Amino acid sequence: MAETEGSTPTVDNHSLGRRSFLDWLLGLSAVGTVLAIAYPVLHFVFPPPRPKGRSKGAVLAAQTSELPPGSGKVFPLGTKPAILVHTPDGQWRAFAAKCTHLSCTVRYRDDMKMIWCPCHDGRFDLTGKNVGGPPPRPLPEHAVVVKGDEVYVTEEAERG
Amino acid sequence: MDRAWAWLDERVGLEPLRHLMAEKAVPRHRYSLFYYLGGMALFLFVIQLGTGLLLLLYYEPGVSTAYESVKRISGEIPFGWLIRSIHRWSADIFIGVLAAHMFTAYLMKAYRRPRELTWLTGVAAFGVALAFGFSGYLLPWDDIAFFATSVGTQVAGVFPLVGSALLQLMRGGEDVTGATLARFFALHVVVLPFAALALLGIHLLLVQRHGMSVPPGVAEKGRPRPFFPDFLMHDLVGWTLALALLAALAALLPAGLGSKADPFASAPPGIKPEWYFYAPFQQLKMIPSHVGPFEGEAVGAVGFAVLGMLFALVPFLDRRAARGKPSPIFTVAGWAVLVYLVGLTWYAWRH
Amino acid sequence: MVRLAALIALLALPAGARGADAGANSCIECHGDVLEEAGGDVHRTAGLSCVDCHRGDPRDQDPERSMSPSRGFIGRPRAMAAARMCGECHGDIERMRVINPRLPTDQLAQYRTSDHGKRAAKGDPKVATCVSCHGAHGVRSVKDPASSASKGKIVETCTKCHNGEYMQGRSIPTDQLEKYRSSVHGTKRLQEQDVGAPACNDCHGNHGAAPPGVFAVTHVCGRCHVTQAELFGASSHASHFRDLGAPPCTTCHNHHDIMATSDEMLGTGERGTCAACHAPGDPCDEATKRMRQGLLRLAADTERARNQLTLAERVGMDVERPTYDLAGAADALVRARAEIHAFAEPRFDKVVAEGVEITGEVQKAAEAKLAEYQYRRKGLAVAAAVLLAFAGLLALRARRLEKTRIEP
Repeated sequence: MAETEGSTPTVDNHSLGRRSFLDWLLGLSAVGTVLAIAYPVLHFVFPPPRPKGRSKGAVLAAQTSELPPGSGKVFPLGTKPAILVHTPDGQWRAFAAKCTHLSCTVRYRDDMKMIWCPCHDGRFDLTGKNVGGPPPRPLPEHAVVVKGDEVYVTEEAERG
Repeated sequence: MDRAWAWLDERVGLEPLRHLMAEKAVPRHRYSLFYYLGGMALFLFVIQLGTGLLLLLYYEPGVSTAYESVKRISGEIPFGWLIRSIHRWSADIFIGVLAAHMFTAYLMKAYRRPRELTWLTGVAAFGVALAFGFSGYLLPWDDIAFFATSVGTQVAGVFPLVGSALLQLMRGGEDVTGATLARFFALHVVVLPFAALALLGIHLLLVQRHGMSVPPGVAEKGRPRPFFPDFLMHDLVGWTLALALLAALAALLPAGLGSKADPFASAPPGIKPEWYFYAPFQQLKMIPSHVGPFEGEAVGAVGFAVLGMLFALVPFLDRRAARGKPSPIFTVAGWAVLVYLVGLTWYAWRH
Repeated sequence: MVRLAALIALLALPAGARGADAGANSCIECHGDVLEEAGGDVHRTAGLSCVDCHRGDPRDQDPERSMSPSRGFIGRPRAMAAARMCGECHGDIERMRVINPRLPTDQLAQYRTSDHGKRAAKGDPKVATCVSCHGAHGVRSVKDPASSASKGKIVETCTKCHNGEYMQGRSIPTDQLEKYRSSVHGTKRLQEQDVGAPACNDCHGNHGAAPPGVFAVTHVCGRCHVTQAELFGASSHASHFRDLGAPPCTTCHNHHDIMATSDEMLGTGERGTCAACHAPGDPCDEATKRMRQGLLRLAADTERARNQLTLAERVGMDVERPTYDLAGAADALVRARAEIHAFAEPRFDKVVAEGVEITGEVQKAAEAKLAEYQYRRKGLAVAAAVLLAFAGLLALRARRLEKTRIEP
């Protein structure tokens, strides 16, 4: 315990008081530091509720009941639109929905049994191949997985 | 407290620890500030282990899941952005601090007898740290990571004789694919941590055995400072400030994520590796295509390898320091290499 | 008569002699340059030779006899004679089926109905015939990009004749290329090589080419611009235009010089196309003013939402979903502009409202992201304060400890 020459008891008491206050503050800030670290870590570690519709790079596109055979639906896949088609003969197929001509969003036309682009009458058959109008390339296809009554579409485009 | 100590002592034998805590002291002189660097590097490594382990709870390796899981960590997991950004920033700062620790140890001739093994394990650990950085960079599997890895592994391929075998070993094939991701993940999460812990363990044991080295010809000022608790408290202050800095960087400049890697897309122009590889990268770019009868790139790669070897072997080359005398030639050489590397790095950063 | 005889002679020749190769062909001794020009000519590849079109006698070295009309020789046919030369095979389905069953065989019949054909029948020597567009000796499939009748080259081919110089002295307009080049279709086709954009033959036809007649061409427009055509056809304006004798589409958009559209075309302003029939300030004009406001608002809202998203992204927040949603607003803007052709304000307003709803939601999402960022900054401030306090107090404690050692 330090003692400077000529120090008076009053100064001693003050110093003592200040020291234990600082020590107390130190203890408090140590606890605070531990909490500041523990709080985010604990929140991180306990898993959040998994939002529906995401599993291993696939997106929930539709319920099977939503799309009877001969219908289609445009839905988001990442930042881009994609189209899910339940073909008249019962297959599920999905493609990127950006028309390869000028990027308008295509749609399914059951009267034509084709995927159609409203901007300049571009047509794609149900394998995605460009069969009519200006589009120069087929639509990239995405894999579809049907799990029970849910239809998932993978985000990666297949390379033919 | 004393009861707990006695209980443990009876079973484990704590005398060496008690001796260390009582006796370990850090010399005071005009360069003693640099003694903090080793501890700072250790702290940052512990941060990497901690945040890395946390990330491992949610990261899923594999070409169809890696990117998505990192996206999830950044966007959906509570404080995932914080853990990931700290991991990212700490990696950079850790390597920077490690480089500073290594160079100050060099310039202070800490490598001299009897600390040659300390030096060797340290240099090896630095290599491990660079490997950590390189392997970890690929794991988010975004376009920047993919192409930086392509470029980096391609550089490995320019080594004469072993180049193409080395490239295939690193990539797990001819190109960067899911196979590359798999082995980089194994490297980053298992192999390198084991290597790091082994090297670090030996390094720290040796430091405790030999104590801190004082540069030859440097006068000490007063008595050495006790490690427990004085120096450690100072260490702790530095570590706390470092943690505050990491938190600030994470909150204000969070780690980004490009678009998902597409092996069929062409590389964006001006693709570069991580900053700690700028120097060799830039040097290779600047070397003429042929140096004498040899291919320029091979000469560059071998050149750097030789430089690294010489650097590692310096304890055995610096005879004067081994005898405890100042060795200005090695000091000048060290500064020259430092200026060269920093200059190249800065140049690459600006272009 | 001579030709009939030549035909019989030709058919009577053994097949080998008919498809005589270069060795037994006296034509190329003087006309060797033609052989070079032929190159990958489809007729040549099919085994045909000079004699198959030009007749005459290739085995005879004497040009007087080999190129004699008595041997059926046809030199350089003009006008309808040229068309008939090609049409002899290409108009005969029995013959073509053996060679290429998928080729149509109605070209000559179509040609006869076209303006080119009609003039050819009158003997006009300058009019286009088969060889004018397809070439004579280097004929390729129109799918081959080297063919002068291919999509890439057809504009060049048509305007080889349809220009001021060639057409001098005729009453036909010659400004088509100039107008087309400045048009949005011309820019896409000629500069960007977008073969989705129409060129001369897409609206005028190929072998039966004729100016479509101003009312007919609007059916052609509607083949690609389906939405606008359908909306217009069902609108109040369809009958008005019919009564006024004004063709749809081209009345407001022109035909060769179709320019990129702008919102300023709506209304009676300086570039407004409605001014042709509407007086400024009439109820329709007032409606267009409101509609233009709607478009401006939707465009401005989309821009503002996009800027907010960029800001959020720049500070490191994930804006993937709102970015996707915002595309719906851009979509709504395009649809609203198409909806103008319905000339019904309620329908238009509905589309604009859909777009504005989307921008509103995206704006909210962007603001939420920015708020989250602010929350992080505040959290950081708190955590940093605690950490800095701890570090500072620790440093003080260390200094105090030091002092007690120095002053025992």
